[in-house]
Amino acid sequence: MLEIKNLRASVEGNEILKGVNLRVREGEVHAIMGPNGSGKSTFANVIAGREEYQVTAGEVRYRDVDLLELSPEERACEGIFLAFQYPVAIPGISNAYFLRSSLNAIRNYRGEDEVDAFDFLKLIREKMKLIGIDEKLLNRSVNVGFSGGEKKRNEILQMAVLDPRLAILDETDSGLDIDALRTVAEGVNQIRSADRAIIVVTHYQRLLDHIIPDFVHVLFDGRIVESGGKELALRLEKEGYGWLEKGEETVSSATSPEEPR
Amino acid sequence: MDRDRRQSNSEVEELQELADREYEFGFVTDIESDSLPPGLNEDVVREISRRKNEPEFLLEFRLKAFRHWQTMTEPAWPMVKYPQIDFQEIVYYSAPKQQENLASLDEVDPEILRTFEKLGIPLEEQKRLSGVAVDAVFDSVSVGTTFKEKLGELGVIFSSFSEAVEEHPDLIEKWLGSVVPYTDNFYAALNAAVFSDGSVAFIPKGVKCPMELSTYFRINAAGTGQFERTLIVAEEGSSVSYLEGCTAPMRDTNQLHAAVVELVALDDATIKYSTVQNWYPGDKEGRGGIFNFVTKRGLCKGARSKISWTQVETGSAITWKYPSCILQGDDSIGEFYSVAMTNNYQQADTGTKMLHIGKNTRSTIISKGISAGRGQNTYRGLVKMMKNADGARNFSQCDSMLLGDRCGAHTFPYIEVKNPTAKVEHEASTSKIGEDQIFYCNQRGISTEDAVSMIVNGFCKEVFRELPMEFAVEAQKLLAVSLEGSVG
Amino acid sequence: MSAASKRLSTATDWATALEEAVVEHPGHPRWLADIRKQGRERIRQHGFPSRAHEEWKYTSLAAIAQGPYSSLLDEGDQGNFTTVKFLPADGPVVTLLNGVFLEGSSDLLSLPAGIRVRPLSDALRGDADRLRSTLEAVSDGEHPFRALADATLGDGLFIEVDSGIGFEGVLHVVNLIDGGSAPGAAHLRHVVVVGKGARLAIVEEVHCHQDVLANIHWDFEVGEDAEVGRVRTFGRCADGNLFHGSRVRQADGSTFSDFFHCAGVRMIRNEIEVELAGRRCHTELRGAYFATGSEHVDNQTRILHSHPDCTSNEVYRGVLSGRSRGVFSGKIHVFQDAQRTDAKQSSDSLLLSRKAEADVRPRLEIYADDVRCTHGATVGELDEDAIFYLRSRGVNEPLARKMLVGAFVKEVLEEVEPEALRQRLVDDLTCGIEISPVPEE
Repeated sequence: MLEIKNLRASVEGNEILKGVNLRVREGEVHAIMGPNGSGKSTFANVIAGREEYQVTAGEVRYRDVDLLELSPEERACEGIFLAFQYPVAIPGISNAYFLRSSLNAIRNYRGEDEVDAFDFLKLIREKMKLIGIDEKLLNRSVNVGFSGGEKKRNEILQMAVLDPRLAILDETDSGLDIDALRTVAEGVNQIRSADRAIIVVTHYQRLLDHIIPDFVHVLFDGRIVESGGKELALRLEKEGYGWLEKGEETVSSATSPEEPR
Repeated sequence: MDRDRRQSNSEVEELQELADREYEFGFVTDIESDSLPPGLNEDVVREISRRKNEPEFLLEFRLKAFRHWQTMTEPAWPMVKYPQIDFQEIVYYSAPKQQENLASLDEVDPEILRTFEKLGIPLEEQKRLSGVAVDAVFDSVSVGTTFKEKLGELGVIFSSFSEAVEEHPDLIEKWLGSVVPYTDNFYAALNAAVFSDGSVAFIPKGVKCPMELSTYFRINAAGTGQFERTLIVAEEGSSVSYLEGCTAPMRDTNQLHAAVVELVALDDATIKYSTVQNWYPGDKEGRGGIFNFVTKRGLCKGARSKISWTQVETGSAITWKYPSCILQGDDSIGEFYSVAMTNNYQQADTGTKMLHIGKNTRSTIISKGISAGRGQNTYRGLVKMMKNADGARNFSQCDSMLLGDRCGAHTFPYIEVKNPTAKVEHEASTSKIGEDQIFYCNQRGISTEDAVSMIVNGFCKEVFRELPMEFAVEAQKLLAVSLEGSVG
Repeated sequence: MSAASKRLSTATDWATALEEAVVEHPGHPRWLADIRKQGRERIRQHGFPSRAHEEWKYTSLAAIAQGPYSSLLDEGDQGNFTTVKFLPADGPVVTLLNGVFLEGSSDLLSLPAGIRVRPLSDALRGDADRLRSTLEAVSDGEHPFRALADATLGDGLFIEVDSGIGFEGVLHVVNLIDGGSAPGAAHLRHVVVVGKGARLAIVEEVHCHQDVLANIHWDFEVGEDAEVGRVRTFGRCADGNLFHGSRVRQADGSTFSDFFHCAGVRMIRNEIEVELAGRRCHTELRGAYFATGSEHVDNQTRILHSHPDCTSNEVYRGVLSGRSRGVFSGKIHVFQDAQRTDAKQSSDSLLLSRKAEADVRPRLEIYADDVRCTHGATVGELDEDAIFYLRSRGVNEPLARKMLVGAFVKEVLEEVEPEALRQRLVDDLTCGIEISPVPEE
């Protein structure tokens, strides 16, 4: 489904991703872990097409198309969903209106009929109940005055409604209490299916107690330096990221990630 | 498509014939000289009054206004730039039917037709708006009559200004110029001297007007927009909602518009006045376009009366208007909700005046200015608390949004308080659409253009919700059309 | 509105009087005489603006235009200021009486090397050319007080701080204006040039005696990364008419802060214009003013954001009682290139009597899209609930009012330095002005 080869990307001239390779197939759940500043969020944003991130080299194939050629909204319509680390507030636009516009944009793209207000309400009420979100959020402006937990749940709600083929969760667990964490995880588990892939980007292992990944990758200084099964996550939990630095040294004789080369 | 056009062509021809015939019979005496030559002097003013068969008091009013106008100079304080207007080049009297009519929609600027389509304006309405002669079929007379009968039963007077002068001269004499005297400003004086027509609504004691009064039912007055005059009086305990304008772009060859609107609300009366203004804004290079210099003012004369202005201004090359409230009655309420959008080379200098005279009077001002392209958007307002306005309150909020780096947004609120128990609060902010907001929408599949229009609509929400339902929907679409091409 | 009706036609005598009164000094450069001449011509041509002039809508100059201020004050008598309670000063002090340097009441020995403070007329005899461009600049040719200052140019100070000099103390400037023997006017011009990376703090206090017009102008050139702070306070000037104008130009990375305080002045027009003429500058303008009786305080501020990445913050608060009138007109202009500007302005006024009036006129002109600009304005009376709350806890009403007024303006003072001065201003905020409501007639 997704094949990334030697992806390099920079922000304002600073190279953040320095050659990422990754292959994700339908039905798989991948976790990308790594310390702060390793490039995790950059990776998620590059896949979603954020323009501040310049791709300088490499290739990203998604369902047999060159993903890098598509605009952000085309990527969304092609089924890529990014749950934002910091969901954006849009004053004056109700959550319901926003989500319906989004759903209909994607349905139009796919040649499907638009959903009318009545059917939409039915659909969204169902999903809200499933995810455990207060219905009052529907009439509030998108993410305006939402608590941290509400914002993240709102992202999961959008994901559930938009039915993506590839969902990327960018640090969705950060700042969540255990209940919210569980809701988020349940939301993700509910959409797990054989034709859908999920990439969970996270700093901590704890989310992976609830969303069991098929593969775990460690992103360090812009590269995936280690890949394995879910046991890798447990090792990171126990030993932290410190061992990577030493490991890195032996592999590529790198110094501290802060130092430019 | 082809079939439609053929149909409408033959239809139009037929109508043209009908219209010509009507013209032949209806205006026999005046055909040859139905409009006056350009220029303005006392004789022209007298002639206008004579042709309209006006009573003596009205002629006097016009003449006084004209004499006063001659002593005045154009205001220079607005933040707008435009070439000098030659007031001797303007034709001040032209009978409505004399308007140049197009034979069919084929002759209408395709750009305008495209806009009609986007706004979802019905075909007949499109023709009327673009000046295609269809008056006879577009059954305005019967529609108008039906409503008139219904309103008549309640004692509501709603007619063109000329009709009202004929049928209710006493009312006109009593209220004309009572809120906007002819001395008020340069354009108000000009309007008072030469106003062509307009509309009058009079709501008697205790009557809640059962329908929105709108220009839609006011076909008679169409084409007299240049120096329009509106007078609405709501007697004790009555209420009325009046809609002015239309969301579709109006074809109009007049460059200068100087209208006057006067509202009077007596004890416990409520007037809600909503405007959607979409006159021709000029082309992308700023050529052409209407100069819209309007004086609108409401007098809350009675206790507990309320006047509410809501406006959505997206048209005109230059907009200069300050719908205001004089809060004279104790506990009276004034409201002003405004969205002004300027794109390309448009300039808008708009706002309101809230004059608090009575005790416990309250006013609210919500103004949203959107500037795009090279548009210049100015909010100018005055909140004045007079000596006796004990316990008066005002809250104002003026927000500007800039789209692009060639436009300007300006805020000039004036606050004058002469009473310590009065309270005034003013807030203003300027913002732009964040790239993160656009990306967030993009990531949810929404195109940049739709995202911008959505965010702008969200920005204007507090104003749109004051509009009557169907108007609000149209206003949103209109804003989306006006925004086109403003985002790269 | 014709141009003529925007002017008061009483200025010709002024120009003539000044022509006779101002003596050209043989040591002064030729161009100085030209500036004076142009000043006289401007006042002759434009006179004083009437209230039909937009910038003077709320302040009438009729009394000044007709008053006996066209003559210059004589040398004055310092003895008339013995009862004045001066602000505490433990550093360098420079005292001017009617614009003339008083050696005996000044102490400039504690100034560190690299900071020079001298009378402007001395500087004009020496290296005058470095002052020329500053003094020749005319930004508003029709401005009456600027024209008067130009017509009489010569009195005042020239303050220079060399690059890299960080002065941790405070330079105390005392302007005494004495109309003891006969009413008249004093016109002062202070020029401050602060070099790259330097630091300067000034406290200025102005005191008037008898019926005078004090016309005081400051010009600040703030160098790259320099930091300049000024506190201005106007003592009792019950018969004083004051014009106090400042023009500030800031270079890259510099900071300028100004605190304005006045209480008990018959009439004051406070004008300050700051141009953030470099990147990453910050401007902080704060003001707290009190007026009672028929006093009149008119504040006009202009902040010009002409370069990107600058910030400005402006907070003015006024307390008005009696029949007084307070005016705040604050303009923020953001030019097209000034992207990422962050400008805030707020103006709050308290009305404590039925005859007092507050006029507020914020003006935002914005031509750049990536900016954050906000302004807020409030006008109202003291919160009766808060008064009641305090009274229910045993505080008597006058004290409750005083406490609430103090709280209202205290916030503005928070960043005033040094600490001792701030404390003094807090203590003496209202200069004893009666802030209980004036009984109704």
